[in-house]
Amino acid sequence: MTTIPRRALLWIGAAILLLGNSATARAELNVITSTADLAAITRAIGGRAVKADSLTSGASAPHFAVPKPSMIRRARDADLLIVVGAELEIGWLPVVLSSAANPRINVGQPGYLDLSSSVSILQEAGPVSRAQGDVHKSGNPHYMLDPQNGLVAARAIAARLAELDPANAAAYQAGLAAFEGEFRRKWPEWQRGFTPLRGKSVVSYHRSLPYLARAFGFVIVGELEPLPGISPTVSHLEALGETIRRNNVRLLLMEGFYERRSAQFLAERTGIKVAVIPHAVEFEAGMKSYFDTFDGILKSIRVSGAY
Amino acid sequence: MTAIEILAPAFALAVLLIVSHVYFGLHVLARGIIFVDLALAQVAALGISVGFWLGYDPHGDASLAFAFVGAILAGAGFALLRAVPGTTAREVIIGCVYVVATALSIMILSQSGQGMEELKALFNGSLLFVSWREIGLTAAAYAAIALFQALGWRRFRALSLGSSEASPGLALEFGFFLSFAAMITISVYLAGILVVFAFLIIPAFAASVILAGFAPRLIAGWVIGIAGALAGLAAAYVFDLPVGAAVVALLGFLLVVVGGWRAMARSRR
Repeated sequence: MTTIPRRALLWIGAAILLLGNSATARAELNVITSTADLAAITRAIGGRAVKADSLTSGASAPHFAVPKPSMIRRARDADLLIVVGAELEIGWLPVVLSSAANPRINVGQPGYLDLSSSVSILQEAGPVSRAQGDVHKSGNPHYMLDPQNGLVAARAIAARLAELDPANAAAYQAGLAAFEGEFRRKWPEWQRGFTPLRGKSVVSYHRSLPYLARAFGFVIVGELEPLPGISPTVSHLEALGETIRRNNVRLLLMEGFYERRSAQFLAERTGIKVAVIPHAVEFEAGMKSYFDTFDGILKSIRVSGAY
Repeated sequence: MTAIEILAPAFALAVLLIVSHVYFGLHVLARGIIFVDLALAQVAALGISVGFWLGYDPHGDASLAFAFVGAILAGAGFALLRAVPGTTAREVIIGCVYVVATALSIMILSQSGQGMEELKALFNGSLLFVSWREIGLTAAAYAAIALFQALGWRRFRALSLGSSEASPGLALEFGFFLSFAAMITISVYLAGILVVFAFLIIPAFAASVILAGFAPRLIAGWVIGIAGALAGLAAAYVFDLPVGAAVVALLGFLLVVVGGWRAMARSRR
């Protein structure tokens, strides 16, 4: 007789826990992204209705991410997965997804958003195989370095958020409108900032900057990597030195996750300046929004003293 | 920026490394514990990894300090190993140190994309990108080490070539490892683990195969080492290869040539 009240308490307690849990589970849309940029944009649009996290840190290279158990755990709990696509994540994401076995975010489901089909992708010229180094066969995936693509991505994200969570559709529209407003304000500011580079030739470390060049009117005439993913060799350095001389190159743009010695070597020999640019949000402390990336790039270029 | 201009500092550093490493290599060969330098190099590299993890530039001066601390700790440990009886146990311990130090470096450096690039650099080295300033500083450091070794060269020789079971002064042993660790730290920092191990062992061993006596072997080792470095740099340029790995491969090839020549000379008698 004395055990019945205790058991009843147990059931009541369990009911409270279950109800409580399911209530908080419905509070926010759980979004994971492959890069920090996409997470920042999702947060800007979704506000408090979403919880957005990036599987990779903004400080490291998205194509060389190391799959970690925490990624699998986060993928398992996610309602929506947003990826850059164009094979940027091909080195690590497929393993994470198959281990997570979350049917909501499988390819083709509404919980899977590949942004590469919405933006304008620059194709690499010529036949593509592993002999050409680490070339992505569906085009250059570093398209988020053109803020116009960021805008397209934001619109696609807002649409998908509204599709998955119609109750908050108005909030997502408002978030998108704010994002677009911010973009319209920053775009002419950036164009002004990049004026010294307009029409000039620069070199980069990896073939990751054609979108940035296209957006802001400069030309990339060579890379430190002889082929994408391959370290610089002697004959390549010789040829690059010649290219720099012929095109009057004064600036090397490189992302922070590459080794610095080859860039220093090149700078000492040819006199060009090196600008280590953020490639994404959170590269440095204090970078929070997608727009901060471009402010950061401009700042690095100014600090380099090339122009 | 011609090929010669690009390769000149790499060659200068290679010569500096060969001159110093062949000397220590002969000592290491005489003691019969070959992997100690690999393990020491790896612990120095681990020091650099720890420095990087704590936020220091992996090519800055703080990093070198971290590497040196690592090498000293390992050197002290290996000096104490003399007290362990039997070479098998010593080899096991040294092998374990190497493998665990490598694993720890990987763990630390896999935390970031730049870390992975730096990990590659620790193994392959950046022989190609060394600056004249670094070469100058290395030459000065090696001159100091050479002076230290020269002052006590007879006792150091006895230490290495003498009985392996006897336990001569621990201080002398530590002095030897101190200078060895200092040299290894700088060379791993600049040239990477593969090149350091190759420069230490291969020319000294090749010289030992064809000659007897410390001084003749030293000279021959220098000749073989410099020839290998020249050939390696040339191959790297002509065939678009990473410089460090090409030099190591060419030295290996030279070892085979020397061994083959010796075998032929023996059979003719």
